[in-house]
Amino acid sequence: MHKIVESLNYLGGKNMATIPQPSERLDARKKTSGKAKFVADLTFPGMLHAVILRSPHGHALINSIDISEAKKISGIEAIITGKDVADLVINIDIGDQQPIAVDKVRFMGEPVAAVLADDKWKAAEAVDLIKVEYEILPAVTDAREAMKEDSPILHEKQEDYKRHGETNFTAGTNVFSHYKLRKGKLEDIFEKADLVLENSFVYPHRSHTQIEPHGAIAFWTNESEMEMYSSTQSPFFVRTCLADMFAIDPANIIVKAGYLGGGFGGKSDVTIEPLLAAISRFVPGKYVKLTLGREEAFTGSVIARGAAVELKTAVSKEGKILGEKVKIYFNSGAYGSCSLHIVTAAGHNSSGPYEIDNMEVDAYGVYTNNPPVGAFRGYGHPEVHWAKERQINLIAKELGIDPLKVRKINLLKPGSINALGQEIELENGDLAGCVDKVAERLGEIELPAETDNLVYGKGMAAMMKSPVMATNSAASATLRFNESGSVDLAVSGVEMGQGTKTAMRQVAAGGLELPLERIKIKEDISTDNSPYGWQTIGSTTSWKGGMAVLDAVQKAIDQLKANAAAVFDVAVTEVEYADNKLYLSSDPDKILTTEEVCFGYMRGNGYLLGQPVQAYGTYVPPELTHPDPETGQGNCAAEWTFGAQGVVLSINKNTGEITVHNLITALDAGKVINPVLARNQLVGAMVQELGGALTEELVYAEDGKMRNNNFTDFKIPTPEDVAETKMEVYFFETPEPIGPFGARGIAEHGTVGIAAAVGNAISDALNIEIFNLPIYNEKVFMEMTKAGDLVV
Amino acid sequence: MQEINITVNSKEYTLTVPPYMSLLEMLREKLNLTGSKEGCGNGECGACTVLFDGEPVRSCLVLAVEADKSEVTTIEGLSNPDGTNPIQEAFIAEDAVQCGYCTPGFVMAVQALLNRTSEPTDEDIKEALGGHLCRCTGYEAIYRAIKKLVK
Repeated sequence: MHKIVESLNYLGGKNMATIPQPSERLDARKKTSGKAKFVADLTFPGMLHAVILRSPHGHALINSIDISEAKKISGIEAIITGKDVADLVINIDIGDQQPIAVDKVRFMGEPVAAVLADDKWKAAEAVDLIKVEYEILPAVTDAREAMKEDSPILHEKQEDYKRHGETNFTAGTNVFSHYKLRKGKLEDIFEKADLVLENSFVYPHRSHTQIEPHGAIAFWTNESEMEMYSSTQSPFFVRTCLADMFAIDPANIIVKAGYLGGGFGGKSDVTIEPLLAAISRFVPGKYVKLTLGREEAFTGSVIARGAAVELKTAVSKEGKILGEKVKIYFNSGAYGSCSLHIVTAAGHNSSGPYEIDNMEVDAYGVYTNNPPVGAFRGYGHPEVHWAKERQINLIAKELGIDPLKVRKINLLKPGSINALGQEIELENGDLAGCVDKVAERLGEIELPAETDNLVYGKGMAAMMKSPVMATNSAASATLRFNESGSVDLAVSGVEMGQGTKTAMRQVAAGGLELPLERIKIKEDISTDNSPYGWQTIGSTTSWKGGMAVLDAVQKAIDQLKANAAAVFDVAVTEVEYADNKLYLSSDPDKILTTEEVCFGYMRGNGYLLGQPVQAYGTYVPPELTHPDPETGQGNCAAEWTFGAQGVVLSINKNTGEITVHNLITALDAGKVINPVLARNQLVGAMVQELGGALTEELVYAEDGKMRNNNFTDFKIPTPEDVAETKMEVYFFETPEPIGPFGARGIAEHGTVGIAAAVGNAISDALNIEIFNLPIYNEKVFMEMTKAGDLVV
Repeated sequence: MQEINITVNSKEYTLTVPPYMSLLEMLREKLNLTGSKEGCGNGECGACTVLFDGEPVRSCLVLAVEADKSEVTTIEGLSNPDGTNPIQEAFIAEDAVQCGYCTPGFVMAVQALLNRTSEPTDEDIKEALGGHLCRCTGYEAIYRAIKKLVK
């Protein structure tokens, strides 16, 4: 089913062209000198500041709101409560959320009122004077608890919500989504298997903690025309959502995105934009700025992950997986739209990079009294790989064989049918090669002997990732030649540190055979005049954006050829383009430079031949479909990236303290467009996920209050944590037939297998098995004590 | 409101500020020096680091009024007249920048370190970066940039 729709000869066989390499990242100078502007750095004359009153409770009815005292503060322009905007619904997929809570709050941090003032301190003072009377309701903060019959219900009338497309919800319960996958038949497989292993794994909530908190500035000209600057990965998606919410034409909403201070999925979809748009509409003609403080960024945007995965695996004594039953419970928080597709993605990929003939997967999206969950780097994959890659090691332990053997006997290979029913082909990448590479590196690393204090361990995980996306999720590019022969390029992806503008410029330069410095790329995006792009997510911009750039390149070259053909007075098929020149194929001495024809060719008498060259390129992943409602299968993933990861660590036997010595990733990138940027994406992703493996967990009280919404209590990796960690990244290059120069997505993939590799390394070191993340030092210490390995 | 006299990046200013305004807010909102970033407002992330009478401080934790009669250097004040600075050049050469939001704080921390010693040990470097958070890079390239600088 994995169709090759573009041939490898795209662009006349230049698929393996040497891609020009810049000496530095495009934006590095601006960012190291403090000149790069982020949304928080922008101000406008007369700008108002918005401060939000947020719910202190996880679940409560709003009985009354008294704003009379707050109104007395001078300089207050407007105070808005849920009743003032009660007609507005945020409907990305499920219309279950409103910009400000109306009758009931469902998570701590949900907006209850907003104050607009000419000064942020006055606004904050007024917020403090708003009196809200709450009636506290019982809360639920765990997905499996929330599925029990006696659980508090968050949304009493799910059936009344408007929806875009199908969502498999159960009215009267907290289940807003149920993704089912059925492949083959489990029947009596569990009875016949040599080993049946059942385990439950937990991946808790985390916070993205981009160092830039969310921010936006809105300006309504009148009640149906607005522009907004936002810290968003998805300006066009924000526009779509706001247009739907206000029932106005998307053309009347302009969303602008400049540099983004980290995204990681937590600024994709929508976060604060509907709220700001709703409240700023009360003061047309004035700019209104909303920037979140750090604690608000934890509770008032989206949070990350949160899944319990139950596996029941039937295995032969050789280690072949015969069948598997998978249940995934997503703790999706109070509103479902932003995690709906994570549920599906996790379901798709719960097989891990293995061929399993018989599978039953049930993945549930469940409402709880936590902040809503959104996309986070890895998107469903780290959750299921934490379970699957731990399970592989546990199977090997039960059978008394090498986990590597269990991996290799089950790996997807050319000809395998994956969980979605797609046939894996050679072009999908060298999974076995990546697994072997990591195993080889782990084998080469010599561990010091165990001491009284320290014990060492190694672990690995195989991995795969496919981006989940709308079937019409386009990326686009515009390419325009200037009169000097230089090029103005614009591509739809947002620059958030991944280096997309640097890489897209390289793709254009490679395609056009132009020196890099002759290509100027637009670094910001404005929805009124930038090429359309669905979202900057899923490590898809180098792939999809790159294909759009190459489409524009091809069209521009065609136009250059047409201009030259008019000059030569021959058919366009007789003109060739190479080395930034156009020449007659029958007489290569007849040459025109690009500069001579790119604005059309003017004869001595002013007569113009041809026209200025400007091209619009676009790319939509080919032939995608929604999963079949019964089997969950279908052509839902356009490309796959395969790889493997490894970890070497030591544990202090007296304290449980873990030190990570090596983080290793081998990945089939298809083609590495920029080796420096690519490596640094993977290093960053590995360390980010190390946080999820070892320290990061949002903690809630029973009533839904988040306990650790700050950097002191929610610990992300620090410079000291990885000062002695050796990072290793290896790229394989099996060209992706539908990728630019053969490239496929790579950046978030560094997160997918790290937690499982850490868990497996701890098992290797101490023979203790961890099922729930994060693996705090204390948890290891407690497990050691339990196992009796420790004499205190 | 209170009047303060302050030297920022070698320029002298007389400013009227509310007593609750932080030094970071003063720099960003009064002087439009937006290179120093607010990542947490609690002194936990380091993105707002500036040099205060030569010492690195979290400018979100210092009140503007405390900076009266003092000398402050921000990221904007580091560059040589030709726009270059060895620390920035090292960060660029080693690609120690991704989203760039934490970068000014890291650069200031390294400047403070090099002001103290031209030959910092690995321990000195680790200590200088303590309390600085970066969610993008995994720190590897930042360490590489600093080590390149002190070699």
